[in-house]
Amino acid sequence: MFRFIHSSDLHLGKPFGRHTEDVRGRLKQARHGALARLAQAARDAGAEYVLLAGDTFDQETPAPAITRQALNAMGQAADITWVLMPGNHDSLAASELWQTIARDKPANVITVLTPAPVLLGDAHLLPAPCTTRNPGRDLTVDMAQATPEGSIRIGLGHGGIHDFGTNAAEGPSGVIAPDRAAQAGLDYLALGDWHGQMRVTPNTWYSGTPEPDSFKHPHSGTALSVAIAAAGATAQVTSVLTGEIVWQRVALDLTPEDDCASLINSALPQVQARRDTLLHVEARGRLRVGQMQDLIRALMQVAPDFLDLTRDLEGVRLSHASADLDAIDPSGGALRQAAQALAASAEDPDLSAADRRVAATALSQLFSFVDEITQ
Amino acid sequence: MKLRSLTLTNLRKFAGQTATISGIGDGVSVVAEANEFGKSTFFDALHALFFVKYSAATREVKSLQPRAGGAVRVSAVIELPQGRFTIEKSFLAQKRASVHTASGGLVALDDEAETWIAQLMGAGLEGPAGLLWVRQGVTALEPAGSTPKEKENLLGARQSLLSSVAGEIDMVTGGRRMDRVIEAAAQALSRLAVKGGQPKAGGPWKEAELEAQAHAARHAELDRACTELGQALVQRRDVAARLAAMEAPGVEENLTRDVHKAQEAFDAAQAHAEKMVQAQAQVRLGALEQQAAQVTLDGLIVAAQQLSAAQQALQVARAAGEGAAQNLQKAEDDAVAAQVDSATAAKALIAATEAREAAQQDALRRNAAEKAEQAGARLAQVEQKCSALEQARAALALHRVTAKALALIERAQAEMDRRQTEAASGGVQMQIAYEGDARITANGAPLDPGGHRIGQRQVFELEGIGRMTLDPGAATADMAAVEEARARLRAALGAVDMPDLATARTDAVRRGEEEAQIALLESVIETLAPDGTSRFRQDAAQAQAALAQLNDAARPECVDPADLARDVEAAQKTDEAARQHYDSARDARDAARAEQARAQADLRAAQATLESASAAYGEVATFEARKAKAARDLATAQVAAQDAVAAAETLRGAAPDLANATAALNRAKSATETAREERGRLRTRAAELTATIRTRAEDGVEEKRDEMAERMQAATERAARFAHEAAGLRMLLDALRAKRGAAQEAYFGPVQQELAPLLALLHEGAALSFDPASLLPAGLARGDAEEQMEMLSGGTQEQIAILTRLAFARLFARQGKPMPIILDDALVYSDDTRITAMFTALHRVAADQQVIVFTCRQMAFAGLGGVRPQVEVVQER
Repeated sequence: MFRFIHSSDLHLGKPFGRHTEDVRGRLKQARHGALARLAQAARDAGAEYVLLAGDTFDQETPAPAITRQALNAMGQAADITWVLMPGNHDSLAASELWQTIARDKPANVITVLTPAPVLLGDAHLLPAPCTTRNPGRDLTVDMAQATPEGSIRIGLGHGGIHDFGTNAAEGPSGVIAPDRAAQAGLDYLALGDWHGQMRVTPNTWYSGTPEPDSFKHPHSGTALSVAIAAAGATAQVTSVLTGEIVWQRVALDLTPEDDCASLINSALPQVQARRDTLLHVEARGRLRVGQMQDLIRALMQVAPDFLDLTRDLEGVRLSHASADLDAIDPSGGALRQAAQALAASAEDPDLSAADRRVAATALSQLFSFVDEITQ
Repeated sequence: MKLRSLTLTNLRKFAGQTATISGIGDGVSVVAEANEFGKSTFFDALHALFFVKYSAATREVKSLQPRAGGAVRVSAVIELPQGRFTIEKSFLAQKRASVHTASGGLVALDDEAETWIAQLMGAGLEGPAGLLWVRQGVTALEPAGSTPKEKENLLGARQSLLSSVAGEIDMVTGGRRMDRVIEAAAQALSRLAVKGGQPKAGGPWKEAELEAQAHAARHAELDRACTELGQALVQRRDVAARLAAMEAPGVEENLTRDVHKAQEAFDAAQAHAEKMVQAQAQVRLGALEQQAAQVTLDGLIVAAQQLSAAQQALQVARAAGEGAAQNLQKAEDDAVAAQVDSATAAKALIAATEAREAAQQDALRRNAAEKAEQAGARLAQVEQKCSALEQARAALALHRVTAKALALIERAQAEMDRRQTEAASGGVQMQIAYEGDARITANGAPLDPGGHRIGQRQVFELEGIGRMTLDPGAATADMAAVEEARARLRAALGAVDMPDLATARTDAVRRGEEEAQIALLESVIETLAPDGTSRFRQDAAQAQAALAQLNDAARPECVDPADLARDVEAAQKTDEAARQHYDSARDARDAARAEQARAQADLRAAQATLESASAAYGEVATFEARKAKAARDLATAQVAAQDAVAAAETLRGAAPDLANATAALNRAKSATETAREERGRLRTRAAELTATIRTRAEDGVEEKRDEMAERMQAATERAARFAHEAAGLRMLLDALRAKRGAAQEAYFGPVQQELAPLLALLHEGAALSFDPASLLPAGLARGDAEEQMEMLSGGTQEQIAILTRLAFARLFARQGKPMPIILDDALVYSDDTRITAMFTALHRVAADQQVIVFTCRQMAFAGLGGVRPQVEVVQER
């Protein structure tokens, strides 16, 4: 039985500039720690190999500390053989990086920089290293080359099966044939580039990133534990958790009848997990002013529990009942009239979307000020 | 509400008294009493009754207490729609407040009474109705010198009034809540932005923008570094690829092989070129040899010709010499004969002369003086001859060429001629025309192209070929001998300072002539003075002396002097002729001498020429053999020359292009060198790029750039949020202020509406503008001009203040809450016309509500009309 851990897209050196210094430090530390966790996952699975299907490093020329410390971590897991393959972020064009790795790598690190088959125990690895940032072609075509009969054939590639979205940085424009494993007679095709774990075919998988780096893929960091009994056998693929920091996105569709605070609280993780969680709340729908205030208060209330809490309430449209306006100005005087005018502007189709948003914001501010004054 | 009566007990001057004003009418009621009556006491008591708590011990309340102290009681009967009520308060002592019905039924007591009263007056104890109370001397809308607290209170009162009129100011304008919201929004906005809408320095918005800019700048800087890094990586990859290509196996070997191949081709071409050069040299040598042979043959032929000519010339010269000698001899003989004849003639002349003299001896006595004179003449003649002799000697000195010197010169000339003839007639002519770089040298010096006379055996070095020896024949021309002869000639000429032989000859001839002349003169002088000139002079002197002596001497036999003269004359003629003949003979002799000299020179030259020709010709016996040999040599040389030309042509036809071979060799060497230099340059460049890459990598510029991009984005978004927040606050403030302004405009409407007809009573067409903040009239507009309130006269301000209150009162009335208007000594600044108009205004207002006027100006207010309430003061028991 040939066992290995399939991982990819570690993106060591990713800067996380949008976050505060403290958060950045935790995130970077978590990424570095993923190497030890992958090694442990390998041990737990009885595997000798960890295959990294590209984008181990975020930049083409990372700072020396990034590279060196990663290699040290791999070297410290001396019982594991690490296979590094260039992805689109750390492609072969990053000559300085790969020269440094070649110079400094410990003995238990293998770099696969050409499509030539590599013997790994009972298996042959058929890598498709990314030559440049955007190769523009399916590099996995070379996986069809022959290997000794009876050898387990494992493909290692990096790129998109489908278009991964508008963010070109997430993946190259080249299209890998979804049935490459079948075309090339592979027992397993280990792919990288997609940060979420995904099964393409029973023997074609994206492992996902072992340590998440965005809210795009709602999961904790994962890797795949793969076991192949023999050439031609079905690969047994098991997902393993490797992430330290959780990136959780909470999407709320709100109505004026909702109890926002309760909804928020019910969507939150357990308290003990919050310290290692980045929470992003996206709200849509319609709320009354009071509800919006409640929602904001609820979020502010729980924010300190989390590593970081961000919110996007742009999708929430404020609805204003008479009671809301009465609360501002029961007499119907100028205050209420101003609120009425702002509410009308927020819904006025003749105004630009930006002006409507400003009017909605002004109205929210009015409610906030009145709320403060009356307290 | 309407006030019907007011009762004061124990207030101020009414200590221990009860003063009552009763019978107050519905409209205008005028309480006109003299000063010090207590009108203000009634006013203050009424004010305290409605606006001061019964339990209060304020200064206002205490001011009502008389000196004797005691309770201060005030009561008023008011009339409401629901009936009459009595409101009573006791201040300071026995404090109490009560409201009773007209029938005495208790309505409210103490605090409840206060509440009942407050509700009657509107919100707040100061109540809106306070505006309607115009105190004595306080006619302005806001009293001058009022404290901020007082102004705030008055503003509150006005706001309260207006709110009660228009339905609560808070309800209409938002009131305090509006103010606080506006204040909060303004504060929030001022934290973010300045008045122009730009981010405020030091504010969070500006900070976010500055942060975004700083991050953008840093990002740009890092991006440039990343670009440089990327370019360096690409360049290094290219350099490595090119270096690998250049260092690939076989590349250098190919270059080396190319060089060797080119070198071989070059060497072959060069060798062939050298052969060509040698062949050309051989061609030239062949030509030279052919030319030399030709020259030799020609020389022999010429020598034969010249020998024959020389022989003939010698014969001619000899003949000429012999003839010249003969002529010379004859000339000399003639000259001698002529000289003898001349001498003879001279002697004859002398004799004749002597005869004559002898004959004249006799005459000496007679002609002693004449003889002495003649002696003198002869002496002069001698002197003349001596002088001529001196001249001739001087002239002789100028002609330095003696015969000996001339002969020396002539010999030298002949020698030189001969040597030159020998030199000219001997040797070969060599023509040199170079085609390549090779040169012919002689004695180490290269020979110039052109003709060269080879007069003697000479060795030449032919560059690239070898040595060539030219021997122009057995005869040798001694150029040095020519030069020696020339030198001797030059010396000979130089000795006598002559340029050439001809000049020397001429000079020699002249010298000869002078010598002859000198000889002649000497001869003549000797003849005239045979004993010398000194002696002659002595003789002449003696003759003179003798003359003197002869004067006494005997006379000889007389001969015919004419005969003697004729003899002398004939002798002179003969002498003259003989002299002329002698001169001619001498000239002829000189000419013959010159002729002989020329003939001798010619002979010598002919001899020299013959010698030279003979030398050139050589031995006679071997001449033909030599000539034949020369002909054969010429033929051989011709053949050799042709062969050399043919060989050269053959080589030329097969010649490889040396220039191309040279270029190919240079190219191959250059390519090798260039490749070596390029490899070195590429290695250096790779090292430089690696250093750049390492430096950038150590700086972590990519990570920093990406981080900076995200931070810049975050700061930009934050700034955008602040901008949006500021926009919202501005929109909010605009909306609030607009609505508040509109509301203010709205509720001022009623005021304006009520005020307009009242104002028209005083100022037709005028209008008041209100300050929305203070809710007070701000200015009076009459026509196109608006005057601020403070610029108006005191009377106008007073009138406007009262009219405004009247308008407010009208609003109260429209709200169904009519309040009495209390005026205490108002209109003190108004003139008669205006006061009448004010009275009219009061009456207009009084149509709907009470107007109670307290005044001490009974006369002035007589025109006001209205009801006169009764005033009664009763002493308390």
